[in-house]
Amino acid sequence: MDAEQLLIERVRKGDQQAFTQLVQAYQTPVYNLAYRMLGSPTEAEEAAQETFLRVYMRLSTYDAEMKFSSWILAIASHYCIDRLRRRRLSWLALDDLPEASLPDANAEAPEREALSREKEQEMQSLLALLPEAYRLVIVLRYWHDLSYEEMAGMLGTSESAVKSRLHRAREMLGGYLAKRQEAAASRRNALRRGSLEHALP
Amino acid sequence: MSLHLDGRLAPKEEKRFQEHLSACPACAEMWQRWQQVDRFFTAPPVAQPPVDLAARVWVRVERRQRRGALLGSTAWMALGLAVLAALYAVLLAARLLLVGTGVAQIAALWLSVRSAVLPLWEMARALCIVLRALLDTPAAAIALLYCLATAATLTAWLRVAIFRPARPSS
Repeated sequence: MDAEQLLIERVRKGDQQAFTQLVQAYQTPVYNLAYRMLGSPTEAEEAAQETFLRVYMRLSTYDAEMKFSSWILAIASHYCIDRLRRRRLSWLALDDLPEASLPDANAEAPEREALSREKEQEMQSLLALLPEAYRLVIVLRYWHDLSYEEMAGMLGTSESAVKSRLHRAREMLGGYLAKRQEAAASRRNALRRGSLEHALP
Repeated sequence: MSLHLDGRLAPKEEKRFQEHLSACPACAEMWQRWQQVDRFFTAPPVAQPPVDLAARVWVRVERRQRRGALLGSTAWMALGLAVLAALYAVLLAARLLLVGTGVAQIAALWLSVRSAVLPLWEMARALCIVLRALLDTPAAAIALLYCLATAATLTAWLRVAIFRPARPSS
């Protein structure tokens, strides 16, 4: 039995310390996935809490066929997709719009922080444009570096479905990026022509 | 292209891909854009969770367990009551059937149940008739519409103004 299985066994018996260890081992990927999917720190934290609660409750159903990290990420993914669907279905959900604010994370040098914050916001707004199933494969591919097989096993679909989702997602992202660059270029041109008033929003 | 980005093309396929790109400017442009997307999302920053996540989850675990225990004991109690009720029903049925006056007693039981339920039924019917009559007059229908509109506006306002989650300051 390796260390992870030992830890899981201890959590199954209700050991709080072991559970804390387990949460600390997986909280960053789970929180990151939730944040990328949901777009707001508040919702991401709620989703991370719910995920670990489910992990604790369902630990008896975990079988070692699947990698433990994949199992946890699968629970998080399903929860986020459910939550996004509910958000879409909920009537008059004005307050549920994702916010592109960053959790007060690692302290970086101010200018670098501003730069990464800008990129971060752009990333988050691009992700928010994708339908949730496409957003999920992009997040799993780029942030969590999962293979097609792992994603298919996690999401309960076929590898070809994962491939086509990734393809469509990249196609859409490419389109958005192109549109954005066009917009930026035309704004620059407008600025160059000196018609500053027109360019400002 | 997607497969190529993930390094999933066989050498032969990759050669064909490159040949096609050099012959087709439209695809070459698209490929550039795809590479741009790939670069944009490569090695992205990872969002960091709050430090006390584990402690907060444990609070929820304990709460859930307490609720589970409470639910469990309630379920046992309900089961016990159900068993008692079933036992009583069996005893009653046995007594009604075995004792000679069974038929008369069943009739009396039916009558008492009927007299309890009948007024309720009449009331529901009367309410239906009143509502239908109201809906037939145009003024009442309009009033109903106004009521519905007010309720909808009120709900929307409550959702937006009161239950809006606190925005984190960042």
